[in-house]
Amino acid sequence: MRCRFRPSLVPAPTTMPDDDDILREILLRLPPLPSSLPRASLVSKRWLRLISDPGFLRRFRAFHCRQPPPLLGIFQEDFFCPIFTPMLDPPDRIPTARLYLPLPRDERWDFRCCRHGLALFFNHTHLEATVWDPVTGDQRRVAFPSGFGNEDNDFVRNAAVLCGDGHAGCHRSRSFKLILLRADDVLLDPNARAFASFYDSETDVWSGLISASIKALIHMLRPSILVGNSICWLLHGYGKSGILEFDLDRQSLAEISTPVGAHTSKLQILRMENNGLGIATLSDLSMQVWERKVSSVSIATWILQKTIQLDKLLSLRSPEERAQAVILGYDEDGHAMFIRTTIGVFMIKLKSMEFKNLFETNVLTTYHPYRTFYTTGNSSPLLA
Amino acid sequence: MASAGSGDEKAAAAAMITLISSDNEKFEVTEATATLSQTIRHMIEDGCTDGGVPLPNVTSKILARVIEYCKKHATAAAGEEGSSSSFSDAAFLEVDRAFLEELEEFDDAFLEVDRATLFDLILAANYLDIKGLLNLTCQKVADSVKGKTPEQIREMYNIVNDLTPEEEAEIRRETQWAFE
Repeated sequence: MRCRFRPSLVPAPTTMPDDDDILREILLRLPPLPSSLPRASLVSKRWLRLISDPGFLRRFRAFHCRQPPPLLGIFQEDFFCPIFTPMLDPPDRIPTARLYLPLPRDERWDFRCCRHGLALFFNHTHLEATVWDPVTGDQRRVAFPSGFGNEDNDFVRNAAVLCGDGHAGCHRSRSFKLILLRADDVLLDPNARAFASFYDSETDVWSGLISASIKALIHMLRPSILVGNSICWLLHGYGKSGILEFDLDRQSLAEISTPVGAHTSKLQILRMENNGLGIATLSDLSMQVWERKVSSVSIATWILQKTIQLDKLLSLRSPEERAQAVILGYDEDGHAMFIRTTIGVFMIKLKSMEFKNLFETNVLTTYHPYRTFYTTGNSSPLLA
Repeated sequence: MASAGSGDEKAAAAAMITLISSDNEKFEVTEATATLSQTIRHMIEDGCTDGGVPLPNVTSKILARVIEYCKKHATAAAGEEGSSSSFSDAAFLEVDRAFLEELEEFDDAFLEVDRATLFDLILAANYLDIKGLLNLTCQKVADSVKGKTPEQIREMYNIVNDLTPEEEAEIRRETQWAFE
């Protein structure tokens, strides 16, 4: 046995080590929830100094980037402004007013997409796309490319925004990419095509038109879904449906057919595990989840993965409760559906089948789930 | 315990390194165990380990714990190398999973120490540059302040509030919801 009475040369610390590097390593590992850093910065001058450092905040986001950022809440389009509804419990519950963007009431705006901590609007009055970082309040306006406008034939029917470096919410580069979509009228034109234009803020240039033939309309109320390195939009109308895919690597556009049985008007594109393409179909209270499998010789087939009886899952019993369910949105990073029933809006995680009754509402709008690392007072402006 | 690794029969064949704690206790460990520390790895590469490696910042009590961690994780690292080279069948994956679980259990038990020891381990992991141990110990401290108010954090870790009332008011004003 070693001598118990040997004097220790280094006194045992009862307080945290003085070394800033060590405290930084500890602070880096706080959970990436909105209250973590504000609370820690109120401990002492030293903690505040370390946490306020932009370099630390960049590291904090990069450290936690292996997981998707927390789902702070959802944005919905109100008459003139995007309205944020928080979903986290206190103390991480960011109030609606904190993520608010008042838009000029004499202009026509459309809220179109939320991804990687950024939100995308159209200003139809000035024919511009506006990218907004709700946490920092930063905005960037980009004029529509030629060929996109407000008329029937050039109307921007859907779009997508994504972070330039593809890292969900890390904001390493602060650059972003945009895709705008318009389409011919499939009723009038048997050879109708969809047209996309791609924008990269690093070059500040719109691509030329990229097109593909389509058999159904571009759905305007279903936001885009990022699957692998493709952006997908729902095509639907006049009894037909499909998926329009923009391949970000090849910058090409293509139509993908939906499962043969998918006749319902209630469809939602899904990002499956391992970045596979999926689709959910909702018919009355029965939801089917399909996954697209591509064979080694490039033959694609849809496989029915599961059928979910919503009335059984959510214990809907009375005829009123069992009235129609509506898809409001989908969280691509959490693989969760937002579904409205007469007894409330449910968030259903499609992998675990856990669900939560969020709130009651009579308002039918499109839900844009908003995930980001809430680290204020630090970010360089968009596209620095 | 003092000469960690000496009971291992294979160790005799492997290259051995002597680590000397601040209180002059000698620990003999295999090179595989010692090189989990980047600091010691560099010393070995530079050929500066003859006559033992003095570690004046680490007490024998802490060094014994650090070696315990490194021995366990060095075995894990060796196991991983072995698995990737030849086998990849289900049975082998099962063994891998069981080993990872065992490693997690070891880590959990390893962290069952008082706060002073935890900070000593952090200082030692930082000085010896052992990434896994630094991550493990710092995460433990971060977890301990999770969900705590600034007042509770100060109390837990004996920290004096030296913020001016103006600084405090400004942070609270900007993120009032975080303190509810």
